[in-house]
Amino acid sequence: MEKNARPIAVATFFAVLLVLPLANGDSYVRHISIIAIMYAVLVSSWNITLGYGGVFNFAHMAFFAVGAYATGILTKTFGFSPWWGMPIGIVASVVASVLVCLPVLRLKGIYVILVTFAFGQLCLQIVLNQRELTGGNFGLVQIPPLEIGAFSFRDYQNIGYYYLSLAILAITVAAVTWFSRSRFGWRVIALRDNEPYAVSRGVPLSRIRLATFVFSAIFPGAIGAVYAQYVRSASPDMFGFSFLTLALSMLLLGGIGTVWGPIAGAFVFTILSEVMAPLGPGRYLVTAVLIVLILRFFPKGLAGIPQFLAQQWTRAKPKPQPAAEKA
Amino acid sequence: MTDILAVEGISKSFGALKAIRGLSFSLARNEVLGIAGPNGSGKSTLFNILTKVPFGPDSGEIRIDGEAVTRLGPRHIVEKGLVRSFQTETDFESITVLENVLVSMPDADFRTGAAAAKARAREILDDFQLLDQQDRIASEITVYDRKKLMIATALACRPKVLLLDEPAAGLSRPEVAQMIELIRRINADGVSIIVIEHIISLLVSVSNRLMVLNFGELLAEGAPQDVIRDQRVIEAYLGPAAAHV
Repeated sequence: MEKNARPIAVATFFAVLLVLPLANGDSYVRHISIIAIMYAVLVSSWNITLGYGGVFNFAHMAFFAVGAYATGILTKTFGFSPWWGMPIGIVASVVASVLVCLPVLRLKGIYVILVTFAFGQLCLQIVLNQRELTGGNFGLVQIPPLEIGAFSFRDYQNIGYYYLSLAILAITVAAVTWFSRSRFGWRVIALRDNEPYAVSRGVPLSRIRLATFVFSAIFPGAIGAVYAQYVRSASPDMFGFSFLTLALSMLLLGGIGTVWGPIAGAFVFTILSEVMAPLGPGRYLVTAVLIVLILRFFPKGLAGIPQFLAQQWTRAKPKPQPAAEKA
Repeated sequence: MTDILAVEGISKSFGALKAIRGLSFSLARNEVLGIAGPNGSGKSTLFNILTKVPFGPDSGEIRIDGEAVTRLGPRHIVEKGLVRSFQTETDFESITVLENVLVSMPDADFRTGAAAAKARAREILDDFQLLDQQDRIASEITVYDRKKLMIATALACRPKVLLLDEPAAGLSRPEVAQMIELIRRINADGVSIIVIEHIISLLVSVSNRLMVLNFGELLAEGAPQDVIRDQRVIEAYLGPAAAHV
């Protein structure tokens, strides 16, 4: 995308999301919008470790679930104010990210996948076994919602949760944009591009990898807390493989290592899934074919389409005739 | 001249293969030491184990400016001032030329602010005639420019000793001449250099001293013109024609 067109596109994107509840008050549309925004936050922050860092961190969805469960347990069982939910979710997610990162500091490739995926499964087993605290198989229900005086965030078709999620998405986009242009971000990309070379230039591998995990875990923790308060439950399915692969599909479809690709992937995938709901299980087949086709023609995912269109536009533009030929 | 780098009895084996066998040498402050030798003689392995990128020595002692660094990790060795380049042009391919240099600069350069750090990075790029390409993605510039960028990033680390591994490999004759000038300029700025190269004319031009390795051992050492006329070096590596460089 042209540099001067980018701020206009970003402003339009957020402006549309800002006025959407005013233009459409349908509860179903509101729910899908909230879920799409939450997915966008999740996938965008996963992009920090997986896309920019090139680290196959399969624990990212577990950070989201840990944030949701921590918020649910502390606000429902231990009586913390629901307004502590987001700080609790962030702290729990960050602690989980440190725990899972320490064993993978010096691992590569498939071993990182194994350890991070195992972490999610370990969390799942703890949730299933500690049923008095977590609700076990049935999940944790009746998590207290957010309220300001007499106004509940659930009022007016969950308008409070909609704007709260949108605010978190805006912060996530700002944070990922800062990250991609910062020295921290360049060092993360350097380690992805060529680890031995980065180390030979004094880039601290362990410190940067740990910082990357911690930074990326802030956002699933925050949105996990809001999700738990929005649906008023946290379920073991949040640690599941299908949830993980859905988010991974969004990331790959959108385009890793870009700020807007994962967000586009999250919105397109969520809306597409709803549109194709009448197809039943057949929608998975259609989705798979779509992913293959998009990645076949746009290897950079949806994020590569504007660049492709810009190239086509430049090629199609008539070239100015040399003066001699005009004469 | 006092020694900036001292290496005593370092060895490295890969199974039964002894790549470096009890090698000892030193590098004086502001000296340029050339290293030559046939393929497989252990030249690049020597750079690998000195910097621990990607592996360290099995035994032996390495000191930089009198301080033992043998037990330090690769990042701390860089901080102590020992920085290397690689045989093939290497870069961070998906970030810009300027960002390649910024990534390589130590934390101290950012303490006075990002603007000061960028100014220093641009100065380095200007020295290497790369300033006009600062905003290009590193993988898009020419092979020669990528080689220069790799050395520029090494200098961004503020090295005391720069290890150059075949800096002229794959370059055209005019580019080799420019590389010779570049090495001299870096050395004139106070950086001690060890350079591995197969292009003997480059080694003779820039080196104060030349060392030839064979099977991981020191075969000959001395003034470049004397070493290239050494009968053992001619037989093991150069061939009769090279003695007239």
